Amino acid sequence: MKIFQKILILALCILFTQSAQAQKNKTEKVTFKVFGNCPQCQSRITDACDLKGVKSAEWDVDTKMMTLIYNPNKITVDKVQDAIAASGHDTETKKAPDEVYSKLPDCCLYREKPNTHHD
Amino acid sequence: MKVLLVFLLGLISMVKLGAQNTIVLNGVVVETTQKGGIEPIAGAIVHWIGNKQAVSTDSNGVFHIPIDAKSNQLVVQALGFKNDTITVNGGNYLKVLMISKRNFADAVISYERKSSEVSFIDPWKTTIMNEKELFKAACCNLSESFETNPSVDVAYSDAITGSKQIQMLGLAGQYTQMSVEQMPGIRGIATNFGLNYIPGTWVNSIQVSKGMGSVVNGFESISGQINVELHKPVVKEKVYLNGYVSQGGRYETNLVLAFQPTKMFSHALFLHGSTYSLRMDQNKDGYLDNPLGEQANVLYRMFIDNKTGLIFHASVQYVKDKKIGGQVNFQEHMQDTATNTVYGTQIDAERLSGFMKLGYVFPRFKYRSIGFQANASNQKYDNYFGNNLYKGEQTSYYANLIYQDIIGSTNHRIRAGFSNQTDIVNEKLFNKQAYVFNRNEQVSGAFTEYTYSYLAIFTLVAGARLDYHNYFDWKFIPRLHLRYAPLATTVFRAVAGKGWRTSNVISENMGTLISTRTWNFTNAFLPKTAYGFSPEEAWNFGINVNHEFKLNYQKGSFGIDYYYTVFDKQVVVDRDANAQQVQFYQLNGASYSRSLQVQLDYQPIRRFDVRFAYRWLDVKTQYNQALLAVPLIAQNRWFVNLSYTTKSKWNFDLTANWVGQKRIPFTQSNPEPLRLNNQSDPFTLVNAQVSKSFKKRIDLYVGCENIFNFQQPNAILDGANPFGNYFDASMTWGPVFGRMFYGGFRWKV
Repeated sequence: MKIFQKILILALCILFTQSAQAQKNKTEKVTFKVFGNCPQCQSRITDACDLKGVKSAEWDVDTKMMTLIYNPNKITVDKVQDAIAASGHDTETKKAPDEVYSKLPDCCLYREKPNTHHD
Repeated sequence: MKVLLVFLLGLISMVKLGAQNTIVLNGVVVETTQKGGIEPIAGAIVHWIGNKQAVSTDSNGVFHIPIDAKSNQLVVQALGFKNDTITVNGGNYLKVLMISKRNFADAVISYERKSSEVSFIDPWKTTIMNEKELFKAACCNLSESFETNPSVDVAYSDAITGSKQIQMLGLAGQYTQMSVEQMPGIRGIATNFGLNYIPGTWVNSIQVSKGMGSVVNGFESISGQINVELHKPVVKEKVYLNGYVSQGGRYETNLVLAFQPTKMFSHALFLHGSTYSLRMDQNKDGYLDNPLGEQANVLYRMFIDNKTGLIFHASVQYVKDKKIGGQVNFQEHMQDTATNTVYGTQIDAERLSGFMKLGYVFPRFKYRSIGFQANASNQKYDNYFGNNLYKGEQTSYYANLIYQDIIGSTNHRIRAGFSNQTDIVNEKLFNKQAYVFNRNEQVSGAFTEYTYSYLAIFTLVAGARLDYHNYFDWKFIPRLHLRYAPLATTVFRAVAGKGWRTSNVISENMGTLISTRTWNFTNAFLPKTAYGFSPEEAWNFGINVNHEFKLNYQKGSFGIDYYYTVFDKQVVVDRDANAQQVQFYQLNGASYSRSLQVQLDYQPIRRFDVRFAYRWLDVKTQYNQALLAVPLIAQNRWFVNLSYTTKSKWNFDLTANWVGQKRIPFTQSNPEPLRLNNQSDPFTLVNAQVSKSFKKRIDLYVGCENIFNFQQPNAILDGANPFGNYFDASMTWGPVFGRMFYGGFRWKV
């Protein structure tokens, strides 16, 4: 039964590490709007935020709000928004290049038909 | 993460007096909090379809809206939540439970991110393995698809035919119910080799769940169920081509063509061809490591959806698979039971199967549906293993009618129906003497399953079925599933239930025919039985916890599960009583399996996934001589899978398995040099793969299996005298094939 004990300890460790993680480090959290339609857009947008200094980027399909947690010493929100726009998605301040936008799949063409994707 | 689920609790009270326009629908709009509590949503807009008159909810989430004579479709809109439409039917008191579409969208995304995950909402713990997970190992067919899944153990049937089998909870593959598209898939005499008939590249996803399944899918599941979903024609890719080549001389090609000529009709053609052509003997034991042979496999499927509630699917599959193995210089024409010169084996299989599904969803009541499923299959084998001959044919028919509805509200769901399973099995076995086994099993039954759900917090599924078997009379099985999620991140589940099945003694122990052991039945020709035995019956109990967490902004999950299976009736396969025999007899005493598994999934760095698991088993059976551990099952197994994807879509995968000691059947009565140890050695298997995808269209992959080149020593006992008294190639506990490189491509248009 030694193995059960080990497992129990492991389980408890994992459960408690969470509470220990708390808000540390120098990170900031911002939210801003990013235009898009569907889950496909979601992965494109979050993939675009795969940048050094970005801790977490979550985009809500329904509210179109991006919640970004980042380290301001390493990256600026402006840079992240540039990257999102470069992937084809407009933000409130940046506009995606038309040639990138026009290459998006049909369901993602949020400028012409916002919210077409319902499945 | 914000709360995922939104619930609408529509409480409808009908005012009985007055004209229609005075009847008011009262309701409340709520969401669940992270702690599982309920918060009202204020300011949500509620209106009937086609009626612009809208009301909004107050600070308690409550609304009052006059009933509209023209519409029963209520639209609810709230900021930050997906709009939803609810069908409101009459009734004095009606609760409507709604899961927002937003939730499903999230679920879809997480599938894209995580290739294998445990479903959170299902009342049974189900691991969903999608294509990305299946790509981690360049699996060729279903038996090789579980290398990255710690819940499923891979077992080696013997050292000659190259067949792999699966085990769950330490119980052999036949105790796991295999279904294809939720229909009886690989069963009966095909159990052992049937996994080879589904090429990996045809598979869209695999759902693996431990413990008892739903009674709707039958009575046969004991240790768990594995359901395979094939590619649907309604996908973006029209052509999917795959090629594979390995160092072992294995070549495979798969082609999937999908067409959707109209919105209502779509169909697809699946083609597979494979061949083993190299005579390889890496371990220099004089026997081929893998048999030579080829397989041709064709599947056609069609879908009709007339968009008014009627759905029809049908498919037909034909497989021809022939494998010849044995001693290195064995040729097919040498098969001759009289001269006993060169040892050879053949597995020649042919299978034709088809299924159809017809479903109707009542357009005004989305929760009410009728489904009819039917399938038919014919499986033939013409095998030989040295002087052991086996010919078998099974024809099966299956039909299942399912009616689904709610009782009062969607909190109470019910599924009920009838099913019939017919199995006509004719087998001929020659093992020292000739045996003929014929049976015609007819099982008709009725089932009902009630599901109670309280928000996303609690689910209870209680099911029962009663079947009448033409040989074994009435069989009743109850099953219960409970699910409790006190937090949005933690879920507890419990399962208890019973299952039963007819044991296909020959095909389940085909590997033991690759020896000179004498098969010893208790009472093989007892009428109205299967090989003299009544069905196997077992109870299964399980509990599990799954917890999702976020550590350093990265998601992870942790799970523990424990299952206990206990057999009331079982056909005991005894290879210990006598090293020159295999004895089959009815269980007289205890037989059980205890299984504990811990699994941790975490992403320490973005795009780098780590999966770690440990599995512990205790599987024992009362043999005539003693209560012994079931042979060739490892008590301990450790598992690690590392997967890293670069931004430019390079994938690196590494899977390591450490498999502990297994008990080897008793051989101490053999002459000194032909005795095996009582325990096998622990061994480590490491597989790695690198793949690169180009523009999401083309994937190239190369990999290496068994990097440390571990091969079971002495895999064939007394291989020098295959027709002597001590030859045995069925005590296989480790890989026979050593290090192997492979490569391939996948191309989608």
